Amino acid sequence: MLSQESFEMPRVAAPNEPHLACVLLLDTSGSMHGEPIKSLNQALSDFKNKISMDEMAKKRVDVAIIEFNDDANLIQDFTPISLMGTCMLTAGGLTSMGKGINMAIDKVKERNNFYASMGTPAFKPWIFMITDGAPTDNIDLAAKRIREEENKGTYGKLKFFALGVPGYEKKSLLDLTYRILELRDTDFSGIFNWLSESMVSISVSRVGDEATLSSLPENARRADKDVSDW
Amino acid sequence: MNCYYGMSIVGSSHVSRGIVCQDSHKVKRLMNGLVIAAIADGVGSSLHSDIASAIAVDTVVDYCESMLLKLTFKPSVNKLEEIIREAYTEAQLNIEKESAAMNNPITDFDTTLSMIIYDGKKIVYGHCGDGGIIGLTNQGDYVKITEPQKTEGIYVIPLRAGLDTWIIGNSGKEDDLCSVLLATDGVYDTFFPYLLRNQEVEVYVPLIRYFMDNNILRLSQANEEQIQEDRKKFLTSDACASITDDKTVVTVLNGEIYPDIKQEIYYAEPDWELLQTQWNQRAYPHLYEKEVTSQPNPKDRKQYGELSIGQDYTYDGHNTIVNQDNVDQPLQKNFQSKNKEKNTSSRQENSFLNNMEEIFEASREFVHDIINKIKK
Repeated sequence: MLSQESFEMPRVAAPNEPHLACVLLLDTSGSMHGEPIKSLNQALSDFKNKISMDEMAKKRVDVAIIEFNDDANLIQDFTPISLMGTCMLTAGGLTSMGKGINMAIDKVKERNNFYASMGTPAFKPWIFMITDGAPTDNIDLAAKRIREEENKGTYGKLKFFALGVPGYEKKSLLDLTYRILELRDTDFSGIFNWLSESMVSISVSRVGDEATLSSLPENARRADKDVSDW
Repeated sequence: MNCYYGMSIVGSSHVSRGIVCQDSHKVKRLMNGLVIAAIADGVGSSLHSDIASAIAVDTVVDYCESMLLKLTFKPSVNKLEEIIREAYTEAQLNIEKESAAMNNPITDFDTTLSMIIYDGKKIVYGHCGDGGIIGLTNQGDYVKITEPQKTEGIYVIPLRAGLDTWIIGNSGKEDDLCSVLLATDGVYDTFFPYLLRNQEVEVYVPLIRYFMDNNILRLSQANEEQIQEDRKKFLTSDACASITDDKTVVTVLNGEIYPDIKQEIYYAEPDWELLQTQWNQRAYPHLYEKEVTSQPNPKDRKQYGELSIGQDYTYDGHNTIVNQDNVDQPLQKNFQSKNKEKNTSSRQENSFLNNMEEIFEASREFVHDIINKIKK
């Protein structure tokens, strides 16, 4: 028999963190040229820094970045937020929104499957799309896939948000989701602040629970009603 | 002589939101030595789940006690399973009555419920939800008696899901159990971290041992309160700060049995750094796929293993360049200088090609002129 004295107090050293996947889906078409793209680049950097300040969130949030213009491009595959690169996005070309959304959904599904295969608890993933225009490709399939993923299983497998920047086409976004936010200008700092607060709020909650999202910044509003039931 | 200790502690995430402890537990030792123990975890999203969990444990323990006291013969395993099944039904009925009395929907009263009847060797158990029951055999092996019940790997299946989802069973004829632990998910998941999944031993032995192994506990009926206080102190200490959910643990053991002590390695702390790196390599392959040319910051190496930070995010399609600025200075400098070299080299190549094109163009025009002159 061991004596109590010879037994050291245990540690809880297992890093047993659940994960939250977030895809930033960014419109980098020609209309974003100039101040909008500059503001977006800065906001992305602040987004990373803000979330990384939270010790728990920085271990849990995985971010991927996809841009769409003439085509859809994976800028950064899922990466821990604290290792997220600084983006120097440039704008130009068309608005291949459908392609971008399909790529984002593929990435999210792949990530969900990975977490499940590793037994890693995961929060419902987010796709956060930013656009200032109208799609130049067909978005029917993308819209159908968003609906399918959001309604899959008991509580859905995805949360898709669309942020409209002045010049965006509301009708197209309404075909995609009811979670539409509108920006009054092209200052992305406030909305990315909201996004980082939301990521922190979710990632420190319990998997399966609905975390409360914070208030929107002054230059943003929900296209229909309050965000509390999102 | 069967002994026990148990506790339900409100989680830090509940304290910060002003929510009461939604977990409950109850243990009874009968005159014949049998111990009946139950734990329940009120579902967080249900408004009155704390009431439901309390009703659940009270009902099943009291029901089983009353049925066992009525028996004039030693019950068979089948009989005990039947009693547990009835106890579960009774618990759900009592919760429904409370829901009706309070005029609140039954969905406001969701709870999990796990229970055992232990005779010092074997258990008969009932289980529903995402907590669980773990046994320690006389040979010193930890065995998972139940699996957490979750739909889609996330959402707990509550008691309300009914008879078809309740797992009623027994520990079988094989190894005797000298110790049995019941825990709600906050603690249970800590005993089975996902990084140990598919490893030879999936339970976090050095931790769970502190709660179950009588070589360490030395639990007797005389010191149950002291041992309980010690474990409570540990669960509320900074060592367990990462468990933010309510914490319920009940351990019931045979105080006369000390499990065999296995080889030291069985009790060693797993190499979490290595396990985390293996997980990271699968989660973020792009951070590892290139050869490491610089020495990563030790802090990053510790958290993510050997990384090739900053080498993968350069995307030059459509004039987009992504740089990496999250690493500490030496690595950052190295990365920048590497990229700078790459860019310089690329610019030199472009300049060479441009010159060649100009030379070729000039030569073409020269040849064209000569041909024209010859034609004339």
